[in-house]
Amino acid sequence: MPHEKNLIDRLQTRSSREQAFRDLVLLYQERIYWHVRRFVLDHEDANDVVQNTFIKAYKGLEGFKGDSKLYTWLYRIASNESITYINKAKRSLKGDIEAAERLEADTYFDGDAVELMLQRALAQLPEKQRLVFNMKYYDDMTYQEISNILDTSVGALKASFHHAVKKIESYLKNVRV
Amino acid sequence: MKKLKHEEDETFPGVLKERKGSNPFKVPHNYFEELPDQIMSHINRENTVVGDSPRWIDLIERWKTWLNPRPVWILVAILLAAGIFLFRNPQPVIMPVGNAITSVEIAEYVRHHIDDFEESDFYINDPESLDILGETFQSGDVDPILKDLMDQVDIETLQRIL
Repeated sequence: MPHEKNLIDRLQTRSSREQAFRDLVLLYQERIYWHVRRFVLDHEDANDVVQNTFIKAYKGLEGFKGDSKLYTWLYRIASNESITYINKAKRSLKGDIEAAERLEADTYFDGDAVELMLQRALAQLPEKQRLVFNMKYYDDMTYQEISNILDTSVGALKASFHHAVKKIESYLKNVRV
Repeated sequence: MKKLKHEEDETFPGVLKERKGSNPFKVPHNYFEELPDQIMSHINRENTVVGDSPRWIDLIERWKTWLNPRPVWILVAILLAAGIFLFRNPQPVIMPVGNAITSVEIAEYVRHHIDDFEESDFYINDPESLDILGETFQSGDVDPILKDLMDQVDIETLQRIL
C-alpha cells in the first residue's frame, strides 16, 4: 500500500513525525475507538484507553520497523490496553459485567432490550474470547487478520469464536426462558 | 481488504444474525473531530515534560540513542565474557628464564650460609633416591662419604657430650 509506506516514512522522520502522527490518528481513530468501546463499553473508559493507545504508539514509533501493517500494530496495542484496563477495573470492583449492567442508564447507549441482553452475554465471556468475537462479528476481520494481531493460530481463533457463539446463544436462551 | 464472506454467514445464528451490523453505542457530539487534538496535546505535554527534565536524564537518553546499535552491545558482551573468563582462570605466574636460579648458585648460597640451616636438613632419609642439587646419589655412592665423616668424628668429645 503506497499510502501506508509514505506514512511510515514520514513517521520515522523526526521533522515530519508530528503531522504524520496526526494523519495516523485521523485515519484509524474511529476503528480503534469502536474496537475499544465494544470491549470496555463505557465511553469515558474507551476514551482513556484510546488516548493511551495512541500515546503508546507514538512512544513506540522508534521500534516500529514496518514488519506489520500500521492498523495491525495499532489494534494490537489497543487490544492489550483494553485487557489491561478491564483487569484494573476488575480489581477495583468495576468489572465488565458491572459495566454491562450500567449500560441501561448510559447516555451513550441507545440499544433495545435485545441489544442489552447481547451486551450482557458478551460480558460473560473470557477476555480473549470476547476480543476474538468482537473482531470477527463487529470489526468484520478475517481469521488471518485476527491471527496477525493477537499472534494466535487461525485454528485456535476458530475454536475460540465457535465457543463464544455457543455461550452467547446459550445465555440468550436462558434469559428468554 | 478482501474478506471471506462465507466465514460469518454460516456461523451466526438467531439474534446474532439479526443484529449483525447494528451499533447501539453513541459518542458525544464532535468527539472524533476533537480527538486528534486531544491526543496531540497530550503527546506534546509529555514531550515538554521530557524536555524540561534534568540534564542528567537528557544525557541518559542520548547515551541510549548512541548505544542503540546492536554491534556495540555485542562487543560489550564479548568483552565482559572475556573479562569474566580471565578473572575466573588466572594464568600461572611464570618466572622469566633469565631469573632462574641455577644449582651452582644454590650450592654457593648454602656454602656461605651454612650456619642458617638446621643440621637435620642434611640428614639422608632415603638414600635410594637422594637428589641433592639435581644430582642423584645411589646407596653405594653414599657409603664412602659416611665412612669419611665417621673417621673425622672425635669419639672422646662425643662421649663427653653424651
